[in-house]
Amino acid sequence: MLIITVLIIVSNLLLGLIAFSKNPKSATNRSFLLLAAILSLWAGTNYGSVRPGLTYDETLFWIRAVMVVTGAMFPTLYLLAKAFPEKTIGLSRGLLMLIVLFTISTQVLAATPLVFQKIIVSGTTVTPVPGPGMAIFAANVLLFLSLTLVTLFKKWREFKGRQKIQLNYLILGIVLTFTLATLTNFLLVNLFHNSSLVALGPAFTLIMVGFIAYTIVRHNFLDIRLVMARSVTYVLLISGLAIFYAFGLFASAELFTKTTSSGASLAVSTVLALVMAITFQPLKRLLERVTNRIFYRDRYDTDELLLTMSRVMASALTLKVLSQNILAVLRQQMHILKAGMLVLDKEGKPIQEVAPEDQPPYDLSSEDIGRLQTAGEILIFDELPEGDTKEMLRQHDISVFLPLRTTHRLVGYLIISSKTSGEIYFEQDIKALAILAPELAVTAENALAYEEIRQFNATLQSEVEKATEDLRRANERLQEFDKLKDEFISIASHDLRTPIATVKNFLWLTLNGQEPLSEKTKDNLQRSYDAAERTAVLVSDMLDVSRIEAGRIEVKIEPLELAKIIGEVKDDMTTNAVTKEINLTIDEPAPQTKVMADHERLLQVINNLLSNAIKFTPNGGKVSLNIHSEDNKVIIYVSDSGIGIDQKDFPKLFTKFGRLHNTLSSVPEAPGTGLGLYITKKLVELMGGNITVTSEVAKGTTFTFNLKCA
Amino acid sequence: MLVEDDKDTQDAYSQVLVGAGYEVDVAPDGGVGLTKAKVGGYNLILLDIMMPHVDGLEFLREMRQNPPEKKNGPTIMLTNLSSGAVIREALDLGASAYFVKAALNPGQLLKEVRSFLLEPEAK
Repeated sequence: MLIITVLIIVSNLLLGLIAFSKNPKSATNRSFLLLAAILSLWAGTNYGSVRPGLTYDETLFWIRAVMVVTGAMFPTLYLLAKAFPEKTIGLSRGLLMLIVLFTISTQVLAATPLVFQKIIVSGTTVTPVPGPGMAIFAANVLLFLSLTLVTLFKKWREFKGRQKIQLNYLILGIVLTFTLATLTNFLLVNLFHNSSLVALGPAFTLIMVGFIAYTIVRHNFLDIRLVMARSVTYVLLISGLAIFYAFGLFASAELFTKTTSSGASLAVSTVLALVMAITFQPLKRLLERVTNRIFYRDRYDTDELLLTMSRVMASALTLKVLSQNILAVLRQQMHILKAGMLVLDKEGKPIQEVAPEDQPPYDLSSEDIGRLQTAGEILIFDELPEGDTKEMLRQHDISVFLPLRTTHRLVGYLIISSKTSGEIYFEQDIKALAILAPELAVTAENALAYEEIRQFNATLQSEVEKATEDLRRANERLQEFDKLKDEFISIASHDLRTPIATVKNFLWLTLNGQEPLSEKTKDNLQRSYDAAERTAVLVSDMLDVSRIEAGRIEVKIEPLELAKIIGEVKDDMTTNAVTKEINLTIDEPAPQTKVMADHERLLQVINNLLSNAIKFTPNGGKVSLNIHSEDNKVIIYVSDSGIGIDQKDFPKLFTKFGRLHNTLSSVPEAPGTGLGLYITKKLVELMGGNITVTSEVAKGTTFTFNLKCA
Repeated sequence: MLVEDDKDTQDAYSQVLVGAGYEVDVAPDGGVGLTKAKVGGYNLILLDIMMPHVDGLEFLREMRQNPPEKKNGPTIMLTNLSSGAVIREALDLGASAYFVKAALNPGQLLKEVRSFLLEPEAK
């Protein structure tokens, strides 16, 4: 008894002092401390009055002491109710003096026999007998009690949000305590003349003091409904299990009366204990669910919210869609009017505000954002002191401003407006949001990164397309140039040929005409004609060379009858050879011999080699064309007994305009060009073969080339 | 008929052909050439390619699409172009042969003309 009382006193005082220390200047805190002190006193005097072994006088004294304390209780309670939760009482000095006066007079009265005349002790029951002064005392109690109730009621109607919550705690605390205390210390005593539970009275004050202290000290509050739900749950659970245990023991005792061995009862107890232990958790959860459904019909389950959010956050990739989904869920589940997200770029500058489509944007100016940013961590409207920041939040209807951080950086802010119910954001809500914040941050960051990658991809693609386009255009231009070059050469060679042909024509006509010519004239004209002929050949060769070098030479490879080709060159070559009295032999190819070659070009090659052979062989010499078939190749040899080619001239032989060293001056300069062999070699190679030469000066030369068999 | 725009070439070829006993009708451009060809009756047409108004290939195309009632003999291309593509097209369009003028002396031309005609014919 004593210990409990001491505990109560200490606890009350402690709570009072803690609350007081939070804000010593505030009227609320001061009146609370006063109330706590008075309640402690009450506990003390109460104990004093019910101690065992008291004399009559002592009992009477202590009972009177209790009344004295009680006299101050209700006025103080009223003061607290009036002040709560502000810093000032709100009563004029005059009124305050009046109240104090009245209180003190009541207290003085209580010490006299006017309030309690005497006490009647019958066994353990102590019944105090009220005197005439009791009316005043009662008036005090009633007055201040009703004033308190009225004040509380008025405030309860007025208050909103956080203040309302605080008020709820206050009221609940008061109601609980006084109901219970009145029950044990007043009703039981005066109506049922039972003072057995009187000692419990002070214990109930702990409830009220505890509640009030909590409400004054804490910033965020547990939803009262949560408190009530959980309390109901635990009470039911514990009592249920206790009953079960008791019943179990009782039943087993009945059953096992025959064997009253301690071993059996021990076993039974153990079994029961085990059963309780196992069923505790599931039962607790069941009861929690039931009470949740009763008290929390419109509340959300934090776990479910977090699960839903996780799923939503994994649902999309683009920032817009993602944030809209997230905010929509948040809004719906937590019953919020409006929610938005402010996203920052890597430098910390705000880039965009995302919000569900069906709500107007917050449209915060950069100043506003700046001010909010400097505040640092999470901002909760209800907790801020009055000022510019709070005013700004009020204007935009922002209740919570929560930074979203990853380990690297601040990704953005979550902006939440008030709840649809108008309630404040409870501890549970803030905790849920705090859990979500880093996840939202990561999600937003990922979405931004995805956005960046997509843009980068798009940029890259357009760059590549541009580069490709540039390349294509450059290519086109190159091809154009090539075409122009080719056209130029074609036109140039065509234009050169016309006058050359004319010169040849008229020279020929003159040489072969009716008019007789002197030998000298004939000779002169013939030499002119030959020069013109050389020019014509040179133009053709230059055209060929230009085409070969540009890779634009057209070679049509087809199966050709070798005999036919040989036949085509035979006549002209024979004529040439006869002029110089050269013995020309040309092999007859085997009848069905076919080669893969271009008709015109093969003619050109053979003509070139044979005419060269004839050209560089002095009169009376020998020129031959031999054909040899081998595997899938046809090898053609063109040999002459001419002046030969010096070994050191071999490298320049097949090049453009590579002149031979001709030390033998007895061979007349014959018509020809320096391009012939170059073209011949290229043509042979284009037809899939190759050409080689062997020679000995003054003995002769043999050119060898091969072609594929058809 | 000799369809040729260059005066020197016209004269040189006419000389040698007339000297050999042939009757030569000269058209100085493709347009005149077409008109004459449409009248028809030529035993042989010597056709240049690069000419004013209508070029040799156009000539061939037109003759192939709208042949005259009175037929003409074969057409030989006489040109100083040596683009394989052009030559192929000419042959595809109905020419019987092509020769590069600069490589041909009048004697060789005569030989070719004779071989394409069975005998010189006075028209």
